[in-house]
Amino acid sequence: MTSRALAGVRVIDLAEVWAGPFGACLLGDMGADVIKVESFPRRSLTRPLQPDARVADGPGPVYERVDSQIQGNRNKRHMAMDFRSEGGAEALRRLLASADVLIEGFAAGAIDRAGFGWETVHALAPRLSMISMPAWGVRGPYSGYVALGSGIDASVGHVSVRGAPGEPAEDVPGGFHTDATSPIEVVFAALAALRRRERTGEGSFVDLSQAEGFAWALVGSLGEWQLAGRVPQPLGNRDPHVVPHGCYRAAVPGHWVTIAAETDAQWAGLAGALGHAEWAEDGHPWASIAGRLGAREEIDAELAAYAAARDHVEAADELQAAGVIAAPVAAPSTMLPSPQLQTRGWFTPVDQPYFGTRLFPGFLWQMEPDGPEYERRSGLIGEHNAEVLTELGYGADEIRALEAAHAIGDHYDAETDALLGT
Amino acid sequence: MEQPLAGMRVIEVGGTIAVAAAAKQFSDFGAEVVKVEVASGGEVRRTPPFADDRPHLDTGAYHLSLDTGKRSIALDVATPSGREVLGRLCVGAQLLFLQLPPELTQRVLAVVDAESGPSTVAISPHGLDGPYAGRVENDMSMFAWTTRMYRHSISEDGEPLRYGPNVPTIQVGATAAAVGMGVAWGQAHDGTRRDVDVSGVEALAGNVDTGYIDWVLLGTERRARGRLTENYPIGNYACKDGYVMFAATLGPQFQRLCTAIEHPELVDDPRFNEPIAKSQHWADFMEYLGPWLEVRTRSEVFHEMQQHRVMVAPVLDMSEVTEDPQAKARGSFVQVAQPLVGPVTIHGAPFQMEEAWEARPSPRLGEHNAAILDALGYSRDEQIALFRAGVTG
Repeated sequence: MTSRALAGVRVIDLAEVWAGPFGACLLGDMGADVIKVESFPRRSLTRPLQPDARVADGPGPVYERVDSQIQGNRNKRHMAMDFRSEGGAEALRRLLASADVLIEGFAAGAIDRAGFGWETVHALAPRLSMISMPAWGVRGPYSGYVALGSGIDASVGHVSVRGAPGEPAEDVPGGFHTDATSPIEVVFAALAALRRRERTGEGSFVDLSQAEGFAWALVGSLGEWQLAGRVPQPLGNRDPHVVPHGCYRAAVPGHWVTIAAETDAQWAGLAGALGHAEWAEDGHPWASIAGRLGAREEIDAELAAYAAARDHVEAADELQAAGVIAAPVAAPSTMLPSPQLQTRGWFTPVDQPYFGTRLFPGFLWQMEPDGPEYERRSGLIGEHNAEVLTELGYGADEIRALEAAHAIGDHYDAETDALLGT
Repeated sequence: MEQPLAGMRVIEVGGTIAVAAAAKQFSDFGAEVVKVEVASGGEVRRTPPFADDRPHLDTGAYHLSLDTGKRSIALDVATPSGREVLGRLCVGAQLLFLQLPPELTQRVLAVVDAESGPSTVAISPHGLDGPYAGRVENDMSMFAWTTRMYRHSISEDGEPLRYGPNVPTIQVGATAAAVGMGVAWGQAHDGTRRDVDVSGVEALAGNVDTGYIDWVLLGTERRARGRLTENYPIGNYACKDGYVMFAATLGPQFQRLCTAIEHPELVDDPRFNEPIAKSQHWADFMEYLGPWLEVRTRSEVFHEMQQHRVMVAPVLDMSEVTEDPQAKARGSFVQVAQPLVGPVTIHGAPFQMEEAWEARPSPRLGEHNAAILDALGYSRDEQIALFRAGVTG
């Protein structure tokens, strides 16, 4: 059983892809009853028709073998419904009336057109809070504009400081960082709204711009302009005030190690590990911070030579033992054997249908006395339709009628795809 | 309307960027946050940039942005006397955030009353136990462990790169804030005090964008590859006054893009109408897209394309983000009158909820020593004794 910190809180997840669903998932990790309502018969973006780069080989429907669907949907119950149909809309209304938080991630305005805008929802379920999380928020001139995380990353200034000096801007990869930051804000927003309800008795509307939810992490970059009048540029792995501070190619092809010494003590450890204790002795030009700042290229060359002769993990181990900031640039295959993650039991065996038992990534936090657990693996499409509808008071005949009317579903195939044309 | 966290009391200890970021979320939404920091000032006060490039404990960007509205006491919790003060501070508090060296973490956690004390959230790079618990990391090296840096480079064989400075670290702080809200809610409702251990590496590697899941399910270890020409347009493209970021490769997106550049016929063009052919004709496609972009500014590309619901956005720099029309209309940035610096523009609320969020000035180091110690019942003589011994500063 997972943590019960949020026992009794019911969350409806109407969002797609990553940012919204993973926020709901984190609430589920803390014990909220999260009900994911997936689109039917239209497939969500993480339930593709055809095998593609995200789909694992093997038996079973393509749309149940997608990595991006499975990551971010644990600890939920899964429904699939067409809430634009009469029967589906009624089921969603009854679901919302039973819930505390609704999370939706459509482009601004879409949920209103579907008949579930805030005014409607608030009248229907006054205690329910609603989090709408379009790329740039609900209000404002960009309302209705569409983006993935990479567009948001560009507009808040992060793209302008990623990359490396002298490298072409065209080659700075798109970053989908807001998929990771928005879920965290969803959790905070949901609980802030619940806390306010304790006093007001009413739910709140949260206009969660994914741009604003991430932008505040760019404190240092914004400060460069606001406080010092410089437009910050991409620095690669350099830090203007720390030498050494970099990433060095290791002996293992394709692997790298990061190394930094922020203090004289760390520098002394590094000098010793490299067999040059004299570099940290009084009188040596590199013994002082000012001296090192003036010798970045020479020191980098020494570290590059050191790393080039070593395994990336062993180099970091050796330097850490000397009190130096150092870490391998971990690929998944580097992380898996990490004695730290192994000792902490971070990797979690999960029996996921069509995959068998695999070691999944662990949780974002550990907790006593009731830590997060995979109480429910990522659900199959519509897996809990009947269970949830029964709880809402639907009889077996009524559930069958919803199925017959294609208001709910538990699979996609050519027949359900054909419904889209009608 | 009262702020949502009014009446809540939160203590932060350690003075790091992550712990300050975690507690900021509470402070700006109305909680009373007491910042317990060493007299020499911690990381959040010492990290540049500073106003006019003059280093000062009260004028750094991180402090001015992340310590908003807090009260500050300079207190050395490495001493028993300091921990005794902290213990009194914790009485009646709902949450304690801390980031300290491992052995001190355990000592500080021990002052929390096991029954009635606040729930705790301890932040560290690798977690409180395990063979790496004592490792010293920074923003870059912690990030390196998370598989994200591995996937962030200019070319497939190129040097893996950091994100913006302290972006990963602040994400760790935000994660701690989120779980902190969860355990505070839990304690208020079930009476269970919870102790949370947030490892920065786990908080980042466990998030939804982890590269590890591809490895588990698909057996692939992807790296970034710079400009992609197999499927397009995705990534940075030059236009008249800078760059725009596209994510318009998929079927309907590509179709809308072709319509937006007034070449709807390209959708059915055999060079672009199926994936393999399309992957071989990027240069051909640029003969249409390139000239269209060349005569338009970022803003023109953005608005014209978004009328067709094409996923594209302007690449803005830090001098431009505050002038963005959306940011201005929404109040995405706010000005805070900071006593030593004057008005400073910082990022606004991470989400908007009616009358919920306000950034107030950041405290000078130790600004509230006397007020806090008075309220805890320390006499003038006791306060002098603590100061004389260097426990307060």
